[in-house]
Amino acid sequence: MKRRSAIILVLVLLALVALFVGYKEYNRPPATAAQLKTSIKIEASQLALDYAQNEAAANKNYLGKVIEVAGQVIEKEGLNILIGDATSQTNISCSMDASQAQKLNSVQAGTSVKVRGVCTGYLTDVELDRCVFVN
Amino acid sequence: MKKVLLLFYILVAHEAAAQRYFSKNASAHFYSYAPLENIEAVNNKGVCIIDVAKSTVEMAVLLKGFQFKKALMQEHFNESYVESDRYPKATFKGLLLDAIDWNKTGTYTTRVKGTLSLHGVSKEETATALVKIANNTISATADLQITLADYNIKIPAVVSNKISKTVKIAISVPNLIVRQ
Repeated sequence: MKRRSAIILVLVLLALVALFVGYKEYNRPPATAAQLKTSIKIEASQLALDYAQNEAAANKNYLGKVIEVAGQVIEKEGLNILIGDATSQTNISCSMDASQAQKLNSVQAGTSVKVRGVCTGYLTDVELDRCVFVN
Repeated sequence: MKKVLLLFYILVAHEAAAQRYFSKNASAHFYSYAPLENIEAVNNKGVCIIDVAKSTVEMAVLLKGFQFKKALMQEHFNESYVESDRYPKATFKGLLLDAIDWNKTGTYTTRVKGTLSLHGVSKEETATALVKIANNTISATADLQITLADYNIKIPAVVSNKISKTVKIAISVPNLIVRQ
């Protein structure tokens, strides 16, 4: 009898753990780039050029990947910063994660930054999402 | 004198009417109401262009840019439903059907009819839009409803109680400015 109750107890505990893990996974919020590993490090100007020259090829290389971009800030608006070259038609538009709000205070036009984010594609600029600053 | 003034007014009116208004922060917010769960996501980085002379509107959003509260939903959306690796953008190109006096401050209601391209399918859709004209800026909101099956977006039977067959989309473009 004791053995049987022990087995039942273990099964119940396992079920509870499974439920808990399932619940956590179901409610897991999307990761910011801070929690994802960088796959590509690139200069803002190079990334912009790649997309401007051949969007389809650039998407094959960069779409959905975590990219670490280095460049100069052109402008800042709320949680969005534009990185690259003011004379260029195409730049890198980074949506910073809310956690970066404080760091954003010390960033303005002309500041050199390194930003890590997920590449979501190309509209008028190359878009990076869920971005965090890299030291 | 009258002739000069007339010419001046024609030139100015033409200037205003010939402009294109542009925004990089158009938002698209979609909702799916279903018995088990309500799903919604928002994308705040849409590009929107209104050509005042032609009464046309164009909008584009990157599907990977839609933010969900739950990672699993975002992953399913991208991987299974809209297949954003294959079709990274959704675009809309349409005509503003009802007359708007672009030179006069005010709020105008208009129907918008155009082509929505999503998941590799292009289909005509109609929306109702509210356009607000201020001194140098235009703001607009629009609402439309789409049927997922029209765009080959397949919802597995397993989750069919969680996702409605039609989805409401609310567009908001707070600040379109004249493009140089």
